[in-house]
Amino acid sequence: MERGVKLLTRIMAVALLMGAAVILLHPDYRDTFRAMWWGDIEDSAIWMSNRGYYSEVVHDMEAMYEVAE
Amino acid sequence: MKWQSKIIGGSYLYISGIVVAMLLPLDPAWLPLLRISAGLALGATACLLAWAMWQGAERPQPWMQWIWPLLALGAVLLGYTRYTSANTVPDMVVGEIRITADAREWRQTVPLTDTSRLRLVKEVEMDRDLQFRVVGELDARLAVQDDDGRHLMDADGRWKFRKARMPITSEVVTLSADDPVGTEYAVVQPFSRVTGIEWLETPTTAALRVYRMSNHIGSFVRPMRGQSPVTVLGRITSDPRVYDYQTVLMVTPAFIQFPANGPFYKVEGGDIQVTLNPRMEGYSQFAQTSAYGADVQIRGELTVARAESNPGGFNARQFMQNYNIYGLMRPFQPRGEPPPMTMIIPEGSESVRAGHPLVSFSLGLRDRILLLFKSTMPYPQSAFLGGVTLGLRYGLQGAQFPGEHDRGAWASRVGLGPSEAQIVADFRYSGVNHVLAVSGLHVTILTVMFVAIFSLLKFPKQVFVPFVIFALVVFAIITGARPSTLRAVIMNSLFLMTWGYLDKGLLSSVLIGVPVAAFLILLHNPLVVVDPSFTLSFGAILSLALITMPTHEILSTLRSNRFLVVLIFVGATTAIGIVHWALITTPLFIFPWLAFAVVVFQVAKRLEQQGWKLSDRFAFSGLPEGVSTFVAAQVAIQVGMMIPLSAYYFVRWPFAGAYANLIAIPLIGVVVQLGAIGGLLGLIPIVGPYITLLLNAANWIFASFFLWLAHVASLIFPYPFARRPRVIEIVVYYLFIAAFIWHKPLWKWIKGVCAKRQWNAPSAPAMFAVALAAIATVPLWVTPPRDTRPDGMHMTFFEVGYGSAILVESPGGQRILIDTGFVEHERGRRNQAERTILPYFSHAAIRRLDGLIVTSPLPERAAGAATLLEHMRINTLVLPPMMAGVEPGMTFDEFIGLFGPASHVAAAYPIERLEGMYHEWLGHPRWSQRAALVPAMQTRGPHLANRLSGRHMVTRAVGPSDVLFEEMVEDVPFRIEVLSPDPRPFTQHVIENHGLALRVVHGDVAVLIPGHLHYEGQYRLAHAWHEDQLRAQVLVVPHLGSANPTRQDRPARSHIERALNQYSAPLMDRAQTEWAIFQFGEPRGVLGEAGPTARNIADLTRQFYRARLGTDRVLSTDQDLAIMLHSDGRSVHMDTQSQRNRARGGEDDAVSDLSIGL
Repeated sequence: MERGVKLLTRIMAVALLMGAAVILLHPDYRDTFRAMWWGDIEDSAIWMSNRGYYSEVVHDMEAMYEVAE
Repeated sequence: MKWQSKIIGGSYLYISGIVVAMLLPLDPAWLPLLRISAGLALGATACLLAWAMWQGAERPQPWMQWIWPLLALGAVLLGYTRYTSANTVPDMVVGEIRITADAREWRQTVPLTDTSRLRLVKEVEMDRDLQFRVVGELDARLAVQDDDGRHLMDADGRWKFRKARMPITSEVVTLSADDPVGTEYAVVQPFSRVTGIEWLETPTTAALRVYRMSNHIGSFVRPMRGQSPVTVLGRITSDPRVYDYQTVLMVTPAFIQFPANGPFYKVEGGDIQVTLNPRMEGYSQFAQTSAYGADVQIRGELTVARAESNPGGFNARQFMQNYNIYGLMRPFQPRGEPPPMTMIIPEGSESVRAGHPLVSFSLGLRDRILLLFKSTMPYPQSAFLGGVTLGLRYGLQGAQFPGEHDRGAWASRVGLGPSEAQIVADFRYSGVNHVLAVSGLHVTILTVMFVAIFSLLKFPKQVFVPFVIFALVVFAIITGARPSTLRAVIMNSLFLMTWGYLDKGLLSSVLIGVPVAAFLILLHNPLVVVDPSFTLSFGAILSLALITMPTHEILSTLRSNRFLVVLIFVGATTAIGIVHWALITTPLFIFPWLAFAVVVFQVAKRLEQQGWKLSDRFAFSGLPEGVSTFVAAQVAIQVGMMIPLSAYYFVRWPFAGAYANLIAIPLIGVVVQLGAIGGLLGLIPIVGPYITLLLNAANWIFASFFLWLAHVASLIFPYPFARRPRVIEIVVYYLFIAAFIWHKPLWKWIKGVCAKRQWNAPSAPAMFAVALAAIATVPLWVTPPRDTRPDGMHMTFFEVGYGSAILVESPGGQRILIDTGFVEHERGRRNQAERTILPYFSHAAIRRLDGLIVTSPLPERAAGAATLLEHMRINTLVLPPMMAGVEPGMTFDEFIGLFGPASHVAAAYPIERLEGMYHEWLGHPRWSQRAALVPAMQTRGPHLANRLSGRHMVTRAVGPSDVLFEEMVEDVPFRIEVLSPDPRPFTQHVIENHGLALRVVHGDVAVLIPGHLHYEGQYRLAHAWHEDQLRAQVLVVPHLGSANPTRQDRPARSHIERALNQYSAPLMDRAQTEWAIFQFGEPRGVLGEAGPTARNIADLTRQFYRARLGTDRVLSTDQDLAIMLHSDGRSVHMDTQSQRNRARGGEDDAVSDLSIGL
């Protein structure tokens, strides 16, 4: 188990560094970070690429769980 | 430890009981007795165990010796009864009708329950017919609906009905004296009570057993479409499977109105799979997680999935029934009509009922994590992450490798060329598909992750173990609670408990966890015992647990020169497999190659002994322990699970898997952990989504690399077909695997036997071992082959949708395939050669074709040829004369010029159809990886590798009067005669009419195959030959029965009938046809907009043939499924896959065919 803890810690540390680099370098991720910051995530390039993927799962969670009579 | 051995033993004995029930089924009437016996045996076992505990373990008593036999008896009987009761829907005996010289009586032994249908079974012979009516009453449930036609439900969630008591007298039931004993009859009216019998005609003696038919949903389904719709009231009991083109729901029905205006029956078991079209009004409310638990009213046809369409094919019906799905509905909403499926809200409530709170919580959590994935990772990597972390593998359907839509993507740059294969196909081909089926790998990754997180936070393990188990249960629900996931969750939970509270290690947890998990899963649903998700999952864990260590031990002996030799030979064999897979399966090559490897290995060893060696540190054992154990585990999984079970279930073996998984498995650990942590941390308000973005930005790299790995592996490595092993072969294989696992104690035992018997020769133990191995193989030789058939000629007309594929097996053993079916590329899953023909060859152990005849260049006949060339050894490829000039590199105009003047051909055919044909023959300019016939022909030249592996192929074009594959067996001749094309040019339908027409002759029997000839071609064929040269008892209907006699989209019925009478009838008459075989299926995928017209014409053509030959003499692959013809040289015998399915207890038994109603 101790090995698992060490490994997970290392993976997380490396992932955080890699993630920061990707957000800095990848235009879509930069765009998504900005969109998240300004609260309009649905305009981001990443969200747009996912439009057709589980299209019923949307940010308006109330609408998502609303069942029409 | 004694308890542990009884738990383990009891679990395995329970599984044995299931296996016994599969092999030796009993009449379900024995079930009550068996259940009581099982209960008594297990109850007695429990009492004895309790007594033993009370007495104390240190004082063994004589009666304790009965514990094991009783446990064994109880467990086996329990397994037997669970499987038998799950596999059958027993009808209940409620009485009997008995007529003697003195009396006529109806004796009811059990009162009817609810709305009941009766089934009668004749028990004795009768001297006259028996006629009577059943008299009784029905307490009919009638609909209570609102103004919109929606059924009402009370506040407690109970469906509301109006009860109406009405007298019922059945229609006349007639039992013929000629019917054999055991014949079944149905009373078509339902009853709640039977009050008497109205006798109309009675024999001297008669005896009938009266059954109440179970109201299981399976008893209401009908096999064919076009039935009158029924109304089902039920509840959605699983998470909707949402595709971009449909949503699939599981509905547990409570009541069914049958027929449309009949009474409601209370359903007594079985679920329905409902598939919804996005165009249906109100579709969106069903295409989301919140639909789970909702009460629904559905109106539509209730059908059942097909059993095998072709011999050895996939049995979709059995697969679904293993998961309790007995009915299918595809509600259709006609224009202007209300939606056929609606949610029902209980009275006084604001919304529909929710499902189980834990399930609703889990699915809601999943949606929130999915939302974060969609926000922080681009498609298709997001779909991949959703698939491996949340079990949403259906979202990956249709996704393609990123960049493949753009010419000049990376693949072109490294010379691989773009591929149109979808990601799921990439995964399947590369052998990493298992990552999408959430299993032990994922659960173990998450277990380690949660334990690591809690350990980091310094929680004691006694405190956090329950939380981790709860998280695993939620994960199982989120991912659909499939057998593989359940197995892993149960095993990991047991491990956590023994580790957390008993300080036990991994091995003891696995030893007890595997059988207990299997027992619990099979106790819930014993039918999944042969389901791939169950057997593959347990096969994997048992391989890991049992085979890894002995494999590691053997590999660890490899060092220095020997290690190098093994590495070189594994690498070289892999390279040969990639370049020319057929060599690997060629005994003439592979045995000398292995012998060469052994010699080199021995030389290397000798050199080592003489001091000529590499460093001893250059060894398998020199690898880091984690790496060497991982490699041994991969070898163990390949040997213990992938090679035998992949061949058995999928008739293919992903060669790439052995290598791709070396990278894919560690990689998926990172992807799943980052995804899970990112998803969970993302739920923290405000900062959470930013953390998810950060983690998923990194995970995007890993996910992309995974997709890339699978894609490249799928392009480089072959995905060969493998012969499907017989069950007995798998049993013998696992005997040898068991001998390998326990080779040390086995060897010790062998030496002990030799010493005891005083076999003192040094080689005696080895010879004894060889003798034992030979004995183990005896079952292979004494059991009959899979398919025992009489001598003579066999023809199989495959069910390949709209297209043709016919296998001819001559009396002398020649195998000739005529046409190859259609390939639908756009959806990537309609390659009939890959789906139907090659799996049949694997099933029937056919590795070589003597001939492949392509009668027409049209895709419905020729498109699968390239795939067949890729996977089969074929001696001769026979083409129609118009294709003699086809060459690689031809332009489109040159290609269509083969059929006539290019401008004329271009004007006569839709351009899409011509382009499709060009791509099938010459290749697609964009999708260079797509198989095409002419490039495939180029690879079958007479070079050394092809000659060695038997892949050298001769191509020839034939014309009228040519005779092919002629032979004489026991003075009965066999040959295939070429009858057309007519040498005179045609002016219309030039491609169809210049195709081949064949006559397969075996003694006095002949089968006429006019290919795709249009009406003019049929007419000329009828008159170009003497009647004796055309004579054929069996005629395969030309042009798939769908030749359009006009240029109109919707030709008039009279035009079609005139063409049939004028052009098709002479061919039938002159050939003296007795049987007609239609090859037909849904034509829309092949013909596009012309599909419905083709269907209408085919319906008329079928009527025409039936009118002339009789209904029983016209067989059709869309209704009768595959058609099998046998000739003994004098007469023909026809058999159909549909008949075989019925004989195995399929859908079309007499009772279920009867309509039931008021």
